[in-house]
Amino acid sequence: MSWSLGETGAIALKATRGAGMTWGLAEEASEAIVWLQGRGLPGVSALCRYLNWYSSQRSLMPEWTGTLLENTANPYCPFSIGTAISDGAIEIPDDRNTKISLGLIRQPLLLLPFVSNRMQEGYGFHIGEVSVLFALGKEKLVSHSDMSNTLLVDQAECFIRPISEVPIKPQPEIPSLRLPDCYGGCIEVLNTFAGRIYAPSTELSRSRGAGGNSNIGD
Amino acid sequence: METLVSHRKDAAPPKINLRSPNVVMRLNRMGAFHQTRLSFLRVLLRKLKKDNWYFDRPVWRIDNEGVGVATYCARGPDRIYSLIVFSHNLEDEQRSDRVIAKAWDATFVLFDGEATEEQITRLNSSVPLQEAGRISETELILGRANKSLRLFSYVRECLASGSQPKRSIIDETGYLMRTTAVYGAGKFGAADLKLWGERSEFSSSFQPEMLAVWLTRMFSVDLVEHMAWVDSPMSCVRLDRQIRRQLGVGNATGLGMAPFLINHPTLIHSWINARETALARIRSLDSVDAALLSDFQTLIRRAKLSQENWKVDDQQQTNKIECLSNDFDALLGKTLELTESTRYPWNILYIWSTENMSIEGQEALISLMMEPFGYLIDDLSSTMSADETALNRINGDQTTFELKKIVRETYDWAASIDFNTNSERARIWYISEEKLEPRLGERFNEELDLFEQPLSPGYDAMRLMRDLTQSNECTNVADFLLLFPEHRHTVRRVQTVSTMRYAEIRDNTISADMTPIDLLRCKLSFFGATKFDPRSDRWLRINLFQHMPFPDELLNFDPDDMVFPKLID
Repeated sequence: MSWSLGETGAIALKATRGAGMTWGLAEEASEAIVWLQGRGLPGVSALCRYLNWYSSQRSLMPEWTGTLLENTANPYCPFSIGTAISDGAIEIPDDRNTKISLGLIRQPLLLLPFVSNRMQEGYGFHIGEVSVLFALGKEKLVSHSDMSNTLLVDQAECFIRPISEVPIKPQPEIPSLRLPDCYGGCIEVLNTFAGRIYAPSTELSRSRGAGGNSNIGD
Repeated sequence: METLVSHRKDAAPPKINLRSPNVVMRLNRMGAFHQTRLSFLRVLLRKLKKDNWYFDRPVWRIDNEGVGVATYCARGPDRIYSLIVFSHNLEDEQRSDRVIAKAWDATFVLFDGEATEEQITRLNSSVPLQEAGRISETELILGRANKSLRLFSYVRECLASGSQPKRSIIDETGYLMRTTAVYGAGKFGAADLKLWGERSEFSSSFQPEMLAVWLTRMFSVDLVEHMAWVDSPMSCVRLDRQIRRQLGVGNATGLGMAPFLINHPTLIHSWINARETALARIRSLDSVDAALLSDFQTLIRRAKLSQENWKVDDQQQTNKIECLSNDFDALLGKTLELTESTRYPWNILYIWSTENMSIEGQEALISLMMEPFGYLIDDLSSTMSADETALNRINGDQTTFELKKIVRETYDWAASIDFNTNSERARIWYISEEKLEPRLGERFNEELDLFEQPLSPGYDAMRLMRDLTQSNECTNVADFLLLFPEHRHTVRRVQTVSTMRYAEIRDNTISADMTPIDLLRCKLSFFGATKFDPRSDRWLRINLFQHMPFPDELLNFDPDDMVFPKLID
């Protein structure tokens, strides 16, 4: 059994909304998951972990209101920070000497699509102490090595800073635009969150749907 | 808005604008759209014919009960696609058009290539389960169909006894089978659009769906002929080819399709913009020759013949069809006033129709006007698709002043609606947990607020406007969204649709008097559907491919000359 990226994005949208985020943020989350999985990165795993954490810990999460608080005990939402970056509320300056701290981020892999969208050539995105990813512009990503496991961390301080040397390494071939079998458990979790946006059916709604008053002899 | 044209020979050419979205994007007009030569099933057949696709039926293992598997291959210059149909023996009481049904007369996939026995075996374990099964990236489409029991039985009995069915009885239904769901674009594990969306044979919208349904039509006839043969191998006859073409494929469509038009603004704009551009091009033609005028008058008579066979139970639609009949008579009379020396004759007809014909008739005229002008408009079909897989990024740098301005410009129609009255917010869109299908509830009678889907752009835009007006401290969109994150989806939508004139339906999609079948009919007209048959305010039946050639006839007929019955038929 495998899943298309289209339906993966649809499940991500519903699950994120079901977890309590706004429709607008859920749209962004959905696209981020498709972006990550389309590049062979475990976006679905990260979202699954994040929503589980978010549903119980969201009250502890600092709200980002325009000024990043460094050294917070609790992590920021990757989608809030991500959309602030893509909206331009967090600026990524052209100044090659500037380092931008994004604070402590929960499931920082989920931040990657947003950062990539705004990244300038010559900057690197860093999750924790290890510089795991360099960006060469909007769509081109170059990594040191297989990033899948390295990036799937619960939380880490993230920052963007200039890099002196950009390694030229081709992107790995993505075997398939599919979500493989091993994601079955994650999909189940996401479906559980998605279920919160579905309303129980009533006989009235059923009877008014397509075929409701059809005749089998028609 | 429209520039009236003078009849004088020395008059300056009229300036033909695209119709205003305030005219076109109203639900009562969208719910009166008709198929055109830009409709997707017609685009498909043109393409298949032009590129000399041919068809065969490599597998026919249907037993005497009508149970088994059949495959139909479409073979083109570069690729092969196969419809793999599993035919089932369905008890009458299990047959239902409802999306919650669990068994069907036929279930099928459109397979990318020619399937091996192993692949057919794999699909046999999942396709009959439909939503409860899983398919893979080698499948483009998943669907199912039920027999029209009465007509199927009648045709079977006729053929078995060596006679042909009566055309009048065929016309009462118009199809042997009707599809109740046709899923594509990655659903239930099918191939993502990205895998096949750039193939030349699928360059317009919904082409794999149309191919699957067209081949299913072939299956429906093969099955009835097979069952007639089972009944009486010595006396049975094949279905007369002319009568066969009276059979299309039915389709029952409900609310599942309705939110599509709201959720895909870029795509909808591309469809309607192509249609409106075609209309403007034709209205801009400065003359018509006598032969074409005569052909057009014949076309009106053929369309009227088709309309006479359009019979429904719904009284409101019946009234519209009766008006359409009068409209065609009046239109024919008007065309008799036109001559080779009439300048801008098509523009004259169009302007006249807006003053003298019903909306149903006006939209039918637009469909008819496109028929003779393939050379002028068929290229537009390649513009009728859009990649909506990537979100439009929000422009956070946009000033709130500018955002307010585009809300005012794009949603001026919504500003006149009093959303404080219950009747303007009477409906609520939600998804039912039973089949994960969209439904429409009554906001003030049912506890559904928690489950509301964002399918009321007009109302959302007005709420956005209210908060924009009250938050003068925010200078740009990024700052505004920090304070009002709940408007994020609306801001994205406003920024998206403001650049596309036909992206937004300019009516209240949650008002008490909103009729969901208007949304359905609009979309179905782009598929190429005919014989719209409302069964309630929220679901309808239609016919696809009626009168069109079958796969074994495509080389010999021009599908663009077959949508309306011939007068001599």
